[in-house]
Amino acid sequence: MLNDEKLIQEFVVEAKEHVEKIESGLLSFEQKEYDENVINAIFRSAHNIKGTAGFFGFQKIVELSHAMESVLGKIRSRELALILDIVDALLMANDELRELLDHIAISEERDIASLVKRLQHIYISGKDAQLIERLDAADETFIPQIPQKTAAENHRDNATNKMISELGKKGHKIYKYVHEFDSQQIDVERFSINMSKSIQSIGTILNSYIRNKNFLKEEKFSRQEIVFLFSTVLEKELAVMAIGANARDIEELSISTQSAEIFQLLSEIEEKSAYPKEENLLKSKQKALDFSEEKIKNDLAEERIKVDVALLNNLVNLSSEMVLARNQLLRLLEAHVDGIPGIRPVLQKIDHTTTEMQEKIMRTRMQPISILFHSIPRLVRDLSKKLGKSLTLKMEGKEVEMDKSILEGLIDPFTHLIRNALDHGIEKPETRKALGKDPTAMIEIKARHEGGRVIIDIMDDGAGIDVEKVRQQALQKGLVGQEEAKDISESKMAELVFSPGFSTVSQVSDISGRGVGLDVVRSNIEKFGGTVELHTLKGKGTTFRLLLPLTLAIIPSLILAVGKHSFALPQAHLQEIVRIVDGQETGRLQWIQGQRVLQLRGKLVPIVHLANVIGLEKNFEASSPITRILIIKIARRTFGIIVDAIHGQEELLVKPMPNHLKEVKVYSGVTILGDGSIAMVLDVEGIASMGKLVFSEEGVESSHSEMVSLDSQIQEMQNLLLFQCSGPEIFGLHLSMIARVNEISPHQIEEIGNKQYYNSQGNIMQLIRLEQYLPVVSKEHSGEKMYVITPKGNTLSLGLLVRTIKDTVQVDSLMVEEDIQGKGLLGSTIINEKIVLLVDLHEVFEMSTSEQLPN
Amino acid sequence: MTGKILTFYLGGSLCGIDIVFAKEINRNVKYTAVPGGASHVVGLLNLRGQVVTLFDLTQILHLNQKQEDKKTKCMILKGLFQGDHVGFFIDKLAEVIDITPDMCELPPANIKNLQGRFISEIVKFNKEIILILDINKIFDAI
Repeated sequence: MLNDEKLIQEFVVEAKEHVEKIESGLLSFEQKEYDENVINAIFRSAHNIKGTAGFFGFQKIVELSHAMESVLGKIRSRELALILDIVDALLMANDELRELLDHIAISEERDIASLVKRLQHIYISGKDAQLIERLDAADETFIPQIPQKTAAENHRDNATNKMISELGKKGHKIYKYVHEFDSQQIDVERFSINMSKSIQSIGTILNSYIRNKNFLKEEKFSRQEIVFLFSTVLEKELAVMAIGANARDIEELSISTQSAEIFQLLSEIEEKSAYPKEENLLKSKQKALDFSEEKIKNDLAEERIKVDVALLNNLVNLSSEMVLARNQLLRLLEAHVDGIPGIRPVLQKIDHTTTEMQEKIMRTRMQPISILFHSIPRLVRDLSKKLGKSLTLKMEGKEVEMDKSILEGLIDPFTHLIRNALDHGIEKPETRKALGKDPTAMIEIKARHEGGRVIIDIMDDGAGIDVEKVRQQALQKGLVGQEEAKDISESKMAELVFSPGFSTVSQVSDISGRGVGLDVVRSNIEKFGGTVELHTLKGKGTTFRLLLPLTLAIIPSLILAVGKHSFALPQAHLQEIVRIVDGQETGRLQWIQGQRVLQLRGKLVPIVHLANVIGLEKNFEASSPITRILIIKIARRTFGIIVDAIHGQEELLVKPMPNHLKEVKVYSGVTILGDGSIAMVLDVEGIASMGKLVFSEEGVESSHSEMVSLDSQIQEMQNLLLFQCSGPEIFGLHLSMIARVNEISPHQIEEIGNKQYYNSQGNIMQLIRLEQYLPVVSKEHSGEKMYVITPKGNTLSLGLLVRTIKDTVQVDSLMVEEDIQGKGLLGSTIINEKIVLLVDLHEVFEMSTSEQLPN
Repeated sequence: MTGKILTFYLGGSLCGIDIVFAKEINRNVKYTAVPGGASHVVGLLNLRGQVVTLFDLTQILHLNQKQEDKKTKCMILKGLFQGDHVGFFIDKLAEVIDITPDMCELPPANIKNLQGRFISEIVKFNKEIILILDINKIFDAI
């Protein structure tokens, strides 16, 4: 039974939608004729509620929706005519269902027996049998002492009886708590609320009321007594302690022998309500009872409203637009800030609010990963049964949130990976025993946030991937050549399982192993900008690591240009950037039959010019002496695209292609760049097909061994982060050394001793100011925001506190001048005609730590 | 038809559309050309975060396209056409006029087939002839 509050909330919201659908469907029958589609829809809704409620163990909801479903099923199969009485009965049941959902926490305590019975009668006899039932009921539950009881009351008594015996079976004991108030105690109301709360914390209140005790008619005031009838599993002494009551006020009522008294107490309320004098008191009692329920209701239902996803997407668009406008505003006003009094705080406020607003709006599309997780236990259970394997499942990080559309897209790959792990990864219990492993295998699924991404690990402790088998398969299928197969590293070899048509399993099972699989998993995940990594150890297990972007919409891209046109290229497929200067390295770029090829580390890579592919006139005269080639890798095919210029990297919000341009295959979408202009997002697959690059199987480029990752290439291009400390000097730091930059306000900095600390996501980080260690100007400054630069591989928990972040620049080659020297400096360089001091972060940190440790 | 129409010059002809279709008219628009796209698609415009596809209607309607024609003014339409926000370039904006059915006539038979399909009516107004464009037909067809 699931017991997650968030999940329950989701269920309630969803089930309520179904209830509404059922209602409107049923109501439509009163006006229109029988419509098969409508009845099908209603049937499905009832079925849905039943199914999900079962997961959570809401028996009453299951019972009721099941009864509804049976009746609807008969109507659907035309065994039952849909007459008004039946619609009526169904509507009543539906109303009750809504009640149950509204008060989900106490749904188990509601009495639905009569409704279920009525539906069952309809189901069996084909007509509404409320009348007959009433007569029947009177017969069945005839109680001689009170012959005038109505059928309804009988019913309740029946239910009460049942409830009490149920409680007895569960080991509950029933207690009566009577507290007499002092003559004029005013706090009756508060007392009853508190008492009902504390009783509910240990058990269930069956009934409670306040009664007046008129001892003597002549007494001016009447005494009041509060009575609670409650059930709990606790022994009397413990119960007394738990609710903080007086021991003599509590009396245990034996279920078997004192049922008459229990009955009496349960029915007390109606009798008492006959006294008009007590109306107020009864109300207060009612309040006491409703109190906790009201709270639960508030918690569950009122926190959500339904919002159209289209509207949310619209908001996302508008907010990014707002961010752009904010940036422009800040840039424009930068120069005039000092001239306009009072504008700085306003600007800062706009700045902060906009950032925060955008973050919040982005979060509206985020959903917890538990949506993905909650179907897993069932899947694992069913599969392990089927396969005769025993295992435990551990899941962590279900609270991690990510974009709705990514989550939806993950369902298939995820189930696939788990099936794989169960089917291929984990051995049979006997085999495991023989290998000295715990016969019960373990699958662990862990999700976490890391550096703006979501990482999901799916780990099993099974057999691991047999690299030797993979090698043989790969040879057999011709995925690698004989020669190559010898030198490929184990991890590269294991990655071959992602190739299309690959399967190491000799027998096809109905669970997995048909050879369509991991390649689909990979391409599905790459579709939304994610990657899959594989780590395997023979005999120890396999881990699939999914690295996913937080949101689908934002994709890190390279901005490049051909002629006057700018384009964006998602970096997922970009391997490296090759620059060839005319006159140097001649022969690397060659023409073969009118087509260009590039020699890249001994391999020939086909090259297309972007201008040719997209049908632009290429202006050869204007072309620069440098040829820039983007090396693209899709699956296992590599090719190059020549572009005129590379403008840099940007995180982009990709919008879908306008429908009127859908047929243009070289684009996958459009995006709005930082300056507000629109750029087309290139689709590498489309370029490959438009460029008429036909990759035959043998021609597939297959050198993995020495691929240089994109990261290192960008490093060659020298990305520098420019910032200023309190003085006017501009410092530069390699982007590759930086893990992240946080914006903080000065009040977040805490001083301990003469050191400054900052609480970064729960980690205490010591802050270092460059001006303390470097020979530069140090000034007091009172800006409202500052930045902390966290270096990569930061084992010392040190952060660099700086005043402003100027820019990030890309420089082709870094000329390090050694004119300006000092400890902690690598040297200086000139960027945009300004001197930039290059910081040696390691040396600075060394200086700061040696200061800390006296030796 | 009866009601207000917004008139403008397009490829030398005076055209009009039912004013309910018009959202706004932008001057000096900065748009991005889409290399490789159909020739009647001029480019994409960023209208407050919405991507608007801009068309050259002179090509669709087979009107005379002036060579020196600078594409600066464009009419943005309300609503979505095939799921897109759309707009088209105009030469010059004219005025808004009220029309009544007695001013309207069906397009003469000798107007080119294709063009005739997109023109719902012809209005005679102050000795001028206004081609009333059938916006729905045009943007559903292209």
